[in-house]
Amino acid sequence: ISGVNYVTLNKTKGPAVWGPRAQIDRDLYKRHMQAEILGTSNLTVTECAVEDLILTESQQSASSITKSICKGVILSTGEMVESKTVVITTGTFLRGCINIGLSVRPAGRIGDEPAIGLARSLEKAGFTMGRLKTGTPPRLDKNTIDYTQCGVTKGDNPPEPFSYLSTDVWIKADEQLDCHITRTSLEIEQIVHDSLPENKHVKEELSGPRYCPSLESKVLKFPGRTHQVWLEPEGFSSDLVYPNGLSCTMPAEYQQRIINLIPGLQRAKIVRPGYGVEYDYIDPRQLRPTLETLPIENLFLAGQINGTTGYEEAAAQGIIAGINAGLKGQNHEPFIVDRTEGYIGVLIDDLTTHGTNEPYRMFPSRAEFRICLRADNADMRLTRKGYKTGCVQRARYESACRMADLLDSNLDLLRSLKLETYKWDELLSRASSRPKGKVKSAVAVLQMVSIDELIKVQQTELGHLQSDRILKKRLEIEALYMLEIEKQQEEISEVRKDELLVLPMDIDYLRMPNNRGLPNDVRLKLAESRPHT
Amino acid sequence: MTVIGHSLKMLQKTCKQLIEKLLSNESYVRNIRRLICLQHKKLHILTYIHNTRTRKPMVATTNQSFTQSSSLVKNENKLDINTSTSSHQSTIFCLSSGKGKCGIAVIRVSGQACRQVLKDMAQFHHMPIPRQAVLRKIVDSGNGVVIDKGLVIFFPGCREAHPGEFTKRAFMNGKLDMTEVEGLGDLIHAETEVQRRQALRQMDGDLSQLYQGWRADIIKCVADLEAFIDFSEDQDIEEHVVESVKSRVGKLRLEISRHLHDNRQGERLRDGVQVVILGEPNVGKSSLMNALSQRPAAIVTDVAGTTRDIIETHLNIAGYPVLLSDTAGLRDTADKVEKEGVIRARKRAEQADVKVVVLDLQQWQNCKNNNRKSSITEFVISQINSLGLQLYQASASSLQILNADLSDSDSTPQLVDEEYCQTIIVLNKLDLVQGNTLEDLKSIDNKVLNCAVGSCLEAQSGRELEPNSPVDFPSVCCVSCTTGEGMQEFLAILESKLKIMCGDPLAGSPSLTQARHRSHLTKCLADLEQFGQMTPADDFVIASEALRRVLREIGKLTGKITTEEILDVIFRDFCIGK
Repeated sequence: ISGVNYVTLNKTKGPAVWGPRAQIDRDLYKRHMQAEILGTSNLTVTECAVEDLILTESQQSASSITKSICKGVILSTGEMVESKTVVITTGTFLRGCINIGLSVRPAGRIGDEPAIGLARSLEKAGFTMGRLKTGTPPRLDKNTIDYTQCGVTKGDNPPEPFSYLSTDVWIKADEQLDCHITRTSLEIEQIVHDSLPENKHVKEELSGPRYCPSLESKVLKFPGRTHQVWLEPEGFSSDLVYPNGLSCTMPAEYQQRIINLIPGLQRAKIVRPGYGVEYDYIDPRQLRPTLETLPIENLFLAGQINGTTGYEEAAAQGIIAGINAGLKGQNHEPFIVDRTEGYIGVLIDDLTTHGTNEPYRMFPSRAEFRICLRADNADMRLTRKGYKTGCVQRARYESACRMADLLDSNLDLLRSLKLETYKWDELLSRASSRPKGKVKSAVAVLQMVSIDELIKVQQTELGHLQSDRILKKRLEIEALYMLEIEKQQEEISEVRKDELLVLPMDIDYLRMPNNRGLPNDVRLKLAESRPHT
Repeated sequence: MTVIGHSLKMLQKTCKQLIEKLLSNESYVRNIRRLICLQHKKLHILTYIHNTRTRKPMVATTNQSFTQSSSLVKNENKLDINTSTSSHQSTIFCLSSGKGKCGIAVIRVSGQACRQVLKDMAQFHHMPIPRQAVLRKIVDSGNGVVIDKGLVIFFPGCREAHPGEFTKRAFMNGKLDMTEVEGLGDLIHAETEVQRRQALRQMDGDLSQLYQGWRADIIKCVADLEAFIDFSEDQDIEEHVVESVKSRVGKLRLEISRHLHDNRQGERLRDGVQVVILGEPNVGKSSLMNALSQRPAAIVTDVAGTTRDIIETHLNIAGYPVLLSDTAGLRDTADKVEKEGVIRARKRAEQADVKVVVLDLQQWQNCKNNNRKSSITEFVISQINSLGLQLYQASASSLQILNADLSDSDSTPQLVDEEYCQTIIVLNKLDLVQGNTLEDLKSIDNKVLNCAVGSCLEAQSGRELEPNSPVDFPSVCCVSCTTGEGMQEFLAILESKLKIMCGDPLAGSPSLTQARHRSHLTKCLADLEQFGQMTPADDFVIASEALRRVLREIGKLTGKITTEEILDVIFRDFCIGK
């Protein structure tokens, strides 16, 4: 209910990599989210800085990795808030610093104070911490941009909703705001080079995201090219434009000069300059797969504090940390998504076992079982699992179950619908290769033709599907990947089998008797990463 | 050879040089009996010992030195009690080289009393210079009797190595990859000169270089394709990326298939060539076996059907490892046991790399006496037909395709994937033919005979001879197992056949040496082909899955490839970002 532009990315490639994306109106989003949160029963919301954690010493043996237990937080007002579990999502605020040119200011975000006390408390509690940096582009005034010189991308028609419960999005297709695209010019390279002596952020040897380089590093690493710039509206009622691709940290006057060298932006005004942020993160190898920390029991971390970047990455961790904090508070079993079940599993497994030294970003290529982890089957993968833990509403669960039944019965129907190959070819009026061939099921045929063609030639059996657009699409996708998924099943079960062996988190690897046959270096490795399985 | 130590580079260099020097001189190898390495938490001593005694006493001395060392260790344990009570600090020793027929023994000693061992057993008055090989007499510390002479090397500042730990570290640190480690393993187990050359080449990284090259190619292909899938829509990645991936995959396919179709030369050299002796009962198969192995391996009597089971022996013929099998004589028989023997013989014949078919010249003599027209060629052919053996299997054509034009990368040649086999026809009992028959035999030119037999067999098999192709005719030779006449000639033929089967490990591109490599590469090839068949209408993601499988397989060959590596390539080659 806040989106201004809906596009499914990668539509030209396979459905396994379709990525539904929506640009969100900042004001609307804030309003809707606050209404939702404040309207939740049994929830008290306090807005205040947290200075410290209430910790007590762990009752477990001294050799255990868990040193203390978190019992709540201390606010900057001195007030104590007691709790069973605590989730920290500090974003870039943990000892955050903002860099523009040579100036450095402690701040979590422009206009907000950083969290310094909390960083100290975490450090004191024994966390290994690191530092990362990221950046943001300058914001432009919409009214000063000449869009006639830019390319236009409209939202999809029809726009696809994210939720399985919605069939349409909240706005009409033609009410969506347009995005525009332009390119940097080669002349900007000289300005970037000129600005380098006055650019602290770029010079320092801190890890920034590779996938999302600042304008400076694009020019330094890939000289002689022009780069894309997307002009994204921030909302219906906002005059701000986010020039995606222009993240930079040079002094504001250089930023202005660069902007004005870009087609369409010759007269554009910077409302707020771009800047770089440096912040603390904790080594995510100190986390359990529930995102509870190893050194401090009952403390959960999510988002940039764990070394990730991006909205989806933060949301994925937020939901896992939140669910598990809730479950732990009620002494329930934890909720863990594994690598074969969702990108969430890939993300958390990568973080907790390998750690990261740059802001971690999720890419489809990180997932081994990409063709199973699709946007179209998330309900089959996760909704029922979530319902069991109590984090999915009944209505959503029932809808997923209905869909599962429909998919199952119709896939069975398609499998049982068998004809000889040449008959299929005849029916579908395709060039027939051999007059007599093997028998083929409708599922196999569906890998070659669209479901509508199939329904046309099998009206009696498949006619009932005609009107169900969503079901048709899903059947088509299932059939498309069925063969490949069967090939992967073996690998998946291998991974699952390995993962089923759950290792207790508090094994003292260093103290295991020597005769168990674990060499010392392996022991050290294990002690460091503490694999969950 | 095990190399031990902490200061990796130094040790690796010293020991590699040492080992190469040792192994490059075969006569030297024979003289070296034992390589002893003593090591300590703080010091390692490596010793190898010259011994001019014969093979048998050597085994005894090995055992002897073992007991010596154990008594010594007992003493040291007593010493240890004074200094430390914890078990892992006591002085330990082990024979690091393989047991049994290894030409060199390496003994490592490690622990606090190592310096004492140096003094007592190697009779050092001062500690030797670190990492320098010194020739010493090794004595029994109890009674001062010399056990052996050998090299002692002292490695201070090291901790004890677990078996294979050095290699493991080299592997972990990326100094050796899987194929090089395998090469090292093969080198240790190399029993013949040619095997050793192949193993050394592999250990030096020739095979690894080839595989690493492919690995890099595949990583690049996957990275490009993944970048195209993940980022092409809102980033600057052009469509031609996909085309270039396709053409690179095509090239890779050709290279791998060429590597795979090497007629298993490398594997054969590593695992030994299967040479099977076949023939009717009582033609002298077991005698030939015994003559080749120079010992009475098989029972020889004049009773037809003496050999029932398959008798195997390992031989080193001109540096090529051979697994020689003697089989039951092929005939129809009512005897249950012998019948089974014949079945086994035929089965073994199917697996053979080299078939040695033994025929009895006396039978020819008899034929000639009954029917004057019977020529030797007719005799050989009729005998082979009556034995029911498939002899003409040589696929010279497949060798030719291997040399096909590389630039023709569009079409993968249809490679003949037949088992490649060589045949030698041995006419035995030369000592028993007389008169005219002997005269006739002497007048026959072997080459002409070879050709005649070969073309007859070929005509029978219905195969067409390719013009100008190197034809592998069966070779024919006459011997007498009793007098040894003709054996030299037979051995020369066998040697040339072995050479064909194993190839020259130093020439051309490195050979595939292990079935493991073959299996991974075959899977790679299948998936590359699947990718190659992709059409633009097909789902991109499914095609990319095929390439990802290739990546996993090649990873199993050269070490796992992580997503991080793929991402590294993506970010190096494409400017991606907002």
